[in-house]
Amino acid sequence: MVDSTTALRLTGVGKNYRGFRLQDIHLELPAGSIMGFVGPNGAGKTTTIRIITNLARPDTGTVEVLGRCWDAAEVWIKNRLGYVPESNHLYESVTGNWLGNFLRRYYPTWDDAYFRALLEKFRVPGATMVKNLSKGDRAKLAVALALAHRPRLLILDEPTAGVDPVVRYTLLQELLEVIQEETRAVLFSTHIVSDLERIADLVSYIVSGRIVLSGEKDVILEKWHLVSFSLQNPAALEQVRRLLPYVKTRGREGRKVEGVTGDFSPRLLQELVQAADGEVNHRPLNLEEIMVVLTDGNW
Amino acid sequence: MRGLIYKDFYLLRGTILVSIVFTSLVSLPSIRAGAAGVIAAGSFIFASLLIIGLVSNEQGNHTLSFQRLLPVRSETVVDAKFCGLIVIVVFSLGYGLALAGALDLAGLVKVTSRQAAAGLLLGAAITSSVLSIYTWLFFRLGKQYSILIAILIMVVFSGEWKKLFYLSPSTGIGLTGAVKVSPAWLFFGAACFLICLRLARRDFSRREL
Repeated sequence: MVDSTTALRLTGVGKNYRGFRLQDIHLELPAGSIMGFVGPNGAGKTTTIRIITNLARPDTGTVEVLGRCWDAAEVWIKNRLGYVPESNHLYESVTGNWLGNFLRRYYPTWDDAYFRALLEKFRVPGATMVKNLSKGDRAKLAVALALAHRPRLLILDEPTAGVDPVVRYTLLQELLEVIQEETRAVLFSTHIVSDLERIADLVSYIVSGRIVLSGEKDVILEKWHLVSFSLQNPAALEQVRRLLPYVKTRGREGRKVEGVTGDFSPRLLQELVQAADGEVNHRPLNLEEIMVVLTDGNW
Repeated sequence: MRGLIYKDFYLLRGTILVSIVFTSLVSLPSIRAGAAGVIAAGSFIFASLLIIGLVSNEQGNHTLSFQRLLPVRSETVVDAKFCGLIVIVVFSLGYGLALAGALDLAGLVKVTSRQAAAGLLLGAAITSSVLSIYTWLFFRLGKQYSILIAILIMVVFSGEWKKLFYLSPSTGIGLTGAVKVSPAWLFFGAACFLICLRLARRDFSRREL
């Protein structure tokens, strides 16, 4: 039975390499949603994506793409999947137009007019050899090639990696316009979290091969807060540690407390006020700050 | 699959002329083994250069993962490369024959039907067997390892290659020319090709990229 509402489902996926272990990955991406897949370099983002795209096999767990498994529906999935790898794996001695013509033979849903329109929109010279394109233009060409068959699931693995900040900004702007145009599902892997702030519906954080946080972006942004206050007395720290999963102390006798919660609520604030000497300051964290908290061993 | 084969040859377009010139120079010493030696050595060297060029295109650009994600079965990518290998073998034998013909015109060798048949059979057998192994190893291990193993094969059997391609025995017609023309040579090449194709199909679909 094909589940048309789930574009991607990973259940208990694990993979062992020497010196690195991907553990118990659970991910679910509904059709039409954009998921930011966030983590520091070496966290396991690309390994997870290689497993999703069947370029690597999981040791444990299952992968379903658009409701089907790779072993049973390899070509069916590939026809509906668009993938932009971290380093664009394109032939160097051909032009973008040639690559478009090459791929057109393979995808029944290839839309050549759309491909040309994307090249024009991205201002990528289609008649120029790939080896003579700038990094930014190569990235844009890779995106155009991945989109032109109108995939139902688009996977972007650090598409802006290696391009300078100015090009990255414009590339991202153009990319966002395009990927939001249709109701396709998008898995957008990046370590530059600000890229996702505006577009992602869902965010999953991966750290050291484990998913440490996953959910709706708006809920995460609403629930994750930084709080700071002074303790009434040092003994109250234990109570604070029970309320806040991430706590740092400083100042004389460690009375100045800074903490992060992923479950902020008026009730939590009230409980902190009881332990505090004076006002409890709090503010929501952005996605990047959350990543720092999740990855920084000092918290 | 035709698109994949066409792509391979399109990407090779820049190296064909260089390969022809290089092979012509390297094959000249095999004149001592007669026309059969020229045909066998020329076709083998030329085909090797083309296959290495073809594989380098994939490895240098990391495009195997690009091909694995095309909406065809993984085995089709392997099939296309082995079909390309057949085309290269045929093309190389034609080149070897043309080279021997040119040397005949220059009066450096004498092409007889027996020598031509021996050269073509031996060239086809050696080229298809060695390059099938190389292509299989490329799909299994990548370019670096496959080249290392191919070099190892060359070194281990260097004495045999010299006898086949270059040395002129006392008969005066060269060992290659003296080899008994036998369809067994073709059978050997075809068997290597089929075994390697089967192994490459299995290994590539399992290989992690």
